[in-house]
Amino acid sequence: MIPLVEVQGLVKDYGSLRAVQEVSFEVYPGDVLGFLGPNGAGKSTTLRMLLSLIRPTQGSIQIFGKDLISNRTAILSKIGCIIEKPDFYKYLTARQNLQLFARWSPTHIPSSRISELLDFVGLGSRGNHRVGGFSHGMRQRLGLAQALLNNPDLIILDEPTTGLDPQGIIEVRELILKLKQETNKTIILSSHLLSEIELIANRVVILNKGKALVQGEVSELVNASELLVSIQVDNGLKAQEALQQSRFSGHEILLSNQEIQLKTSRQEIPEILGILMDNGISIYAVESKRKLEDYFLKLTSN
Amino acid sequence: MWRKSLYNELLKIIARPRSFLGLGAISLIIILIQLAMKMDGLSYIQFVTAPLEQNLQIEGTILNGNLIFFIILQMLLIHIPLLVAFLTGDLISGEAAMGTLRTLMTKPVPRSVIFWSKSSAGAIYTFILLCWIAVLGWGVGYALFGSGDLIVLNSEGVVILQEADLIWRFVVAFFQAYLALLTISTLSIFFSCFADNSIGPIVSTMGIVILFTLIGGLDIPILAYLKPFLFTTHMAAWRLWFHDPVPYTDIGISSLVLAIHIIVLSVLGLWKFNRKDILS
Repeated sequence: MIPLVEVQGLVKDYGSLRAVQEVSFEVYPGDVLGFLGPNGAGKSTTLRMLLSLIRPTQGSIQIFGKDLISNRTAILSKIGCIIEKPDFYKYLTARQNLQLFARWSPTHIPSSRISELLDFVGLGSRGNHRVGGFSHGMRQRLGLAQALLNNPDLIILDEPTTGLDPQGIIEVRELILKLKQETNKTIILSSHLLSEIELIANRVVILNKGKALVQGEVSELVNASELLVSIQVDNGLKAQEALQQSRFSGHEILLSNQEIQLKTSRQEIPEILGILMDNGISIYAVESKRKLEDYFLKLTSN
Repeated sequence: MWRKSLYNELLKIIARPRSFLGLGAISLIIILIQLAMKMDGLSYIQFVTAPLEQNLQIEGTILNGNLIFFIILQMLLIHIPLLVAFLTGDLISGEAAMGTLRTLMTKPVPRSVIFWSKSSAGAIYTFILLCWIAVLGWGVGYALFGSGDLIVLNSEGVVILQEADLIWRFVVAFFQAYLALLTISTLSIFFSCFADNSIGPIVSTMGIVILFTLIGGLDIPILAYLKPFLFTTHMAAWRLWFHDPVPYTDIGISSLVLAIHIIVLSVLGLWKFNRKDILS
């Protein structure tokens, strides 16, 4: 398959500081690529280079099979984006803002499309209200409408849930999932939240200190990783002995108060609980923590 | 695309309350001058013309609409540049500060189109500002004070210009003044390309205007070489149209210096804007 985006050896220097170091990756049609990394990892800088907001120091960016630098306007006409928090002209209404951005599109965008998008992001009734009075969540949703104005083939969303309250996070995530399911668009999404990437993306690039550390299918990384299972029981010592006498004897089983912990796979949890119950042990709580988080933390802390 | 982009820029200027602050401030200044002259103008004029009346017999009304408009145009040196810089200095850096430049630059529009549409919108705003001065200064001045000959006091002496000889002089002086203000507009847009906040370009522009005006006013030989090349030296060139005979060569040189400033600052501004990393 021909990649929609092909980035090779991307470097960005700010004076003596190398913000992005030899980053290479591909994005294929229909992909939802997660850009994962802690704050300051180089995610935004890389995405800004994909939108020609920042000039790379080195490297090449091919989008839709064309070089970005020499085909900037043609490529941007097929991209929609939100970079960091979406900012609008506060003294204009939501509709006027969208009309303004629509006028910069090479193709005519009818007002019916603007109404349709305002409805899509749940701002249909607030279209004639000034953006100055909008909450951060509403601006984020308006940002999504702005990104979709030209019906883009590629959508770039940089930390779209940052700064939102829990309700706002849920709303924006639902909108992105809706977009993915209903339109099958190619999306590049950056986030410092692993759970967000797991929920939305099918492929991931993990960045830290400007370097791409790992890239691949999210499912592969998730399946390959173990779970750390914590089980609260009435008798921790008895539970530990029961498991050590079972086929889990090879696992390291830790005991802390009345809680046992062991590394295992998701499929093995019912069997473990069955062994405990067969030995007359009462189970009060089961908690599993994906080791991908540990893996991510280990990668990024190094 | 350029037309659509210019339309957008004008729309933003119209929708911003800041744009009307300039017009409001000008209206206030002009109306205050006119009211003050209406109430106490005669004694003020007599104070100025008293030394002349020892040798000249002045008949008719010196205090008329033409003189009032001429006095008002003196504001062009400091006040109006400030109001022009107040808006044009904000055109790029203000959007960078607000974050909208980031969104705007991801649209499929060449950066040069964005730059020229902003510069053109700034030029149109400056023109409207000057037109408003003309309407209030000349129009209202005529209504309040009537018409008459204009007495101009310049470095070479007193020039008395007939009423019938004034309209064309005011029209060309208007465009000469526009050229000077366009230089200010271009300078503040140039500074705006480098900054990510609104205040920097406005302060820098006014700082340059004040510094160059001071340099131009100092009688130090080494600075005298610089003086002809400073745009501030030529900002009051509109006054030359009220000399008799009109010094066309001096006006030509002034116009050329201002035009060169506009071209050079625009080219440098465009160069910077095309290479600007959008980090805001």
